[in-house]
Amino acid sequence: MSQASDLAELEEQARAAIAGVVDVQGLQETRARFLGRSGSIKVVLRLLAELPEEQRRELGQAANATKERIEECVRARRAELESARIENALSDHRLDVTLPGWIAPRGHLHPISRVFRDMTSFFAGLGFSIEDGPQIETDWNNFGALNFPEDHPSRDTQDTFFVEGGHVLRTHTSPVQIRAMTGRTPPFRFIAPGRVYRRDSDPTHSPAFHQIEGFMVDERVTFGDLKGVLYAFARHLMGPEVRLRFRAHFFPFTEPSAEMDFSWGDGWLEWGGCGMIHPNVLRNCGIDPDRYQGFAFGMGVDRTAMLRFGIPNLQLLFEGDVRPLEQL
Amino acid sequence: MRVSLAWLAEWVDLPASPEELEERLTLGGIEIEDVLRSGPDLTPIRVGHVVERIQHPNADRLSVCRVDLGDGAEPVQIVCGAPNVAAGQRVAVATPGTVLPDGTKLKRSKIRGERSEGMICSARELGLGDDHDGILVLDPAATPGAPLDQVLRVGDRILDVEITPNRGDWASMLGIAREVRAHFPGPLRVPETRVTECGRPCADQISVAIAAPEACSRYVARVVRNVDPEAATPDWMKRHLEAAGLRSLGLVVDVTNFVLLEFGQPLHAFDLETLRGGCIRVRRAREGEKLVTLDGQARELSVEDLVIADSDRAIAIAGVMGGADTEVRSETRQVLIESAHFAAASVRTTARRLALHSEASYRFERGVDPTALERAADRAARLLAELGGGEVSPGRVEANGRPVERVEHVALVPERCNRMLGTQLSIAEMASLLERADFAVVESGEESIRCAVPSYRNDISIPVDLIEEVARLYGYDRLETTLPEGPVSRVVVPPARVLEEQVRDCLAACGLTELMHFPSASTEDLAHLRWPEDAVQRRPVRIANPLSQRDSELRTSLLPRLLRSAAYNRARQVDAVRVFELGAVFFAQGPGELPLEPLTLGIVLTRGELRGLWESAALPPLFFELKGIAERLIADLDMGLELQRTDALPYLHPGAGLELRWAGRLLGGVGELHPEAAKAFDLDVPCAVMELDLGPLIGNSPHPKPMLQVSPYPAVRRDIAVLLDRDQPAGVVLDAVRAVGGSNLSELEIFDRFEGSGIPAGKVSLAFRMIFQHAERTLTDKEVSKATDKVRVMLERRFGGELR
Repeated sequence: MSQASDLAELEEQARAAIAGVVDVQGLQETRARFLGRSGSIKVVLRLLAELPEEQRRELGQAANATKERIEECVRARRAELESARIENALSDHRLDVTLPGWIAPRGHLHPISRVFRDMTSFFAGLGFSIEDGPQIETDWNNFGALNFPEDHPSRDTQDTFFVEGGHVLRTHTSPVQIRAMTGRTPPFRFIAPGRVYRRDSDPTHSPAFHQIEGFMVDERVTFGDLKGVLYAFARHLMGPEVRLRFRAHFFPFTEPSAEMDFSWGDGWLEWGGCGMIHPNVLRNCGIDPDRYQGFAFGMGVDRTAMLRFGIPNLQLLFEGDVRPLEQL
Repeated sequence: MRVSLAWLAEWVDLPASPEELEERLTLGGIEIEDVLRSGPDLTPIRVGHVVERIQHPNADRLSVCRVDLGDGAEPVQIVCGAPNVAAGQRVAVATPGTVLPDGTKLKRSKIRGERSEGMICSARELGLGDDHDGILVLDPAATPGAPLDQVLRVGDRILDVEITPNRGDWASMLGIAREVRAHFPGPLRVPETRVTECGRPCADQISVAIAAPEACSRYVARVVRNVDPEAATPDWMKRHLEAAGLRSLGLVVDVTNFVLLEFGQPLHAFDLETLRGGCIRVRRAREGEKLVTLDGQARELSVEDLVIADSDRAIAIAGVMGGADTEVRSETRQVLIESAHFAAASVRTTARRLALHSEASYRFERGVDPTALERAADRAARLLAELGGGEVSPGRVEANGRPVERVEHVALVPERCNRMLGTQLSIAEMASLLERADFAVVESGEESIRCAVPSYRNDISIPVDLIEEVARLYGYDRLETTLPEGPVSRVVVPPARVLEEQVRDCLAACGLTELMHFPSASTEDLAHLRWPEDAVQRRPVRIANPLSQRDSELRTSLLPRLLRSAAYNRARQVDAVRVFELGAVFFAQGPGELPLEPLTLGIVLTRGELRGLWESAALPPLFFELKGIAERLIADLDMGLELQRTDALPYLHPGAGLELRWAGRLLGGVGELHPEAAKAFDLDVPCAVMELDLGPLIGNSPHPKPMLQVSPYPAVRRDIAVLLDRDQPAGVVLDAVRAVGGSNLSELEIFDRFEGSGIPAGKVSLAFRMIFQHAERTLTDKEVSKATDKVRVMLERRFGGELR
């Protein structure tokens, strides 16, 4: 039974070697030395061929059992080594987790861009398409077609920048009405967000500012509908508690016309102008005012942005200082 | 315009609460910008109820009162010296801390040993007169605790109102009074205008001729003789003038101003004795004709201007301002009163040309009642007789030009009115609303309500004008709030806006901050960007009337303002400026055509320390940071924009520039700012800039590509490092590798670039990482090796590369 004692001795050696390894790499090597293709156990098994049948079976079984025990021993040692490694990782790896985290700086859309997006998506929900127009406009689109009489004090209210060559920097987004309605047959609903210009500069006025215009024409749309759309819009922007006030006013391009205020604290803040589109405007766009009627409204966007983001002064929006804008 | 409520109350019955009046006027279209008060401010004084009065223990003439202030607390103790104080009275109480109208601040005190928590006030202490014999005893019905100004109506309340340009008729007490009546029906008390006449007839003293009938529809003259030059303007008239914001300038002028405020009809008074030839001519000025106006300014006139002249010379600018030579002086006794109607456009042209705006021109520009000239002339004559002892010459001298075109009747279609307002008003309701505003209904039925338009309503000419009147008087606040009915069609967003928003998102995701500037850029700044003199960038569209020279030229490039802002921020210790702007730039077109406004993108980056990072990390040169952003944008847009080396864009460093091309067109540039430009914009650090004309790209966005199947088969990575000439552009090598790598080369990148120690001079080591993968099977070693061999051979043969 020298082979059997060999096996016992082999197992003994393997156990000792396995117990002595210090890492997984060493364990792999040790396992290979005993159980691998040219490992010790193979050497023992190779000798089997020379033994008689009966002994061969007996010894073969013993060898396999030995092999299985060594494997088990390897597995156990591997588990020990793994948990030791994790233990080490836990004790060696200590970050100062109070250091600040790092992320690439994020970008910032301009508050006006953000407010415009919010507004256009609100109106998309009510079925309003977007229409754009140029910032330099003809006198006709900015004034004439909008029913401003030639040489009338109503033009004085607009503080117009004139461009060399006779055009104007549009004083409101209303010329987009003319562009959108000309050649179109009602019904339609549009909004026109954009930049407009007035020759006015002080802490509350910028010579370039932003408006959003909305208009809708069909055969039955009413002043009540205008109020409803503006109420919905105001609630969207300012919350469900907001109240609106419509004051009679004069605009050449609407009649009846109103200015609207929204409630703010105990008082009112002026929001914009609105009304039913003047028949002359419809006619100037080739729309029959006896058949069709519609509403239009327009309001400044900059103050909405200021209220929404708590911006204390208008200049901060346009003077190029990144420090305020990057807070938003 | 300023409206005194005290004066207004002489014309119409006002509602008890001024707030109610102000609310109705505001909603009806008279915007109240400010409310001014005259007289003492009584809001901090409270009504008190004297619950108990006892004799002061230590002083015979003092009382100790317990006064209920209506605040639910125990009555307070106040010592009072007035003989008339008694239990049960309602009195005016100032509590400690209150500032009295004379400026005294009240304190708690002890008077002869008794606490006094305030003061019971006399009329004099409240600034209400000289009565100091005792305390002011109020109406017994006054509620304790109420602010005194709600109990005692004292002083005047003056509304500063804004009048819309269509309602010139509101620019008078008469006009505001009519509007008040439309909301609060009641009688209208129009001042007396009848005159007693004596002496020579007016017509014997003056003649009037209108030589410009298109600009003056009617001229009425009245003569008042022997006005006492010593006669003073009475206090009541001064008060009204002051309330309206006018100064008192002597009786005659005050009377004309007063009547203007009453009726809205501008008047002018001439010193009759200074007129030459006994005649008034209304004519166009002669080119270059000169006139010194009342304000002492010498004015040069043009043929567009309408003047009042005597036989020799211009004596007034019609409807704008009188002349100095013929003005009423302190010794003037003989007065000619002019009450005329001048065409709005003519007055406006002159007032604007001369930048001379007066109470008269303000009203004529907005339209004055053309039928009410006599009333104003007579009223002024009457007042001069009454207050200045003048004798009104019999009759008026009148001349007529072309009558003002007026619409006398307008018809409202009731169904249309309801359809437009969303109301169900009856015909009678509509008619009654219109009648409140003095529209006389001449015919009323289902088809139409036909109204006579009051002569002063020059804003009413078409049916919708009446609809507005109905809506206004009914009250916009009472119109039912509804939402539009009807089909909703597809919501369309213009392609330019789709593109703009896509670019905006991409750049924000790249960590940039969006700026917006006034869209100007000076030609000087464009010269700083080294655009040559004949470049289109240096021929901007100009604003004819800019606010400042700086903002007179519209931008042809976004870069100047962005660079100025970058410098502004760096001067404020912001070192890493990473900003962009999206918007129109402006290029002039042919005469009469609108300028082009292509949508353009500008980016400016300056390098700063990577913020918030506490371990050093190597970053490639700033140029590559911007190039990365450009490449991200190009990939996002997916339209085949290309980057090519350039040294030809003037604003870029010739050694660090790329141009952006699309479909063969040059659309912009990416690179380091030219050092000369950087210096001109006060930027002391490297700065990378990009500008891209997005205009041609609008509408060319591809449909989104379907998502690609990810291969389930393993990818094989192979790296190749090669020594190349330092001048060899890496991009060219990369393209060549991609070209020969075969269809299985799914990813390719440069993962290392090295020069210096260990590398021969003039050489650079580039390492390429190649990832091979097949969609439908596992690649064999042989296939991958074959492909990499081809790349190796190509690198050696084509680029003289030495494999490492």
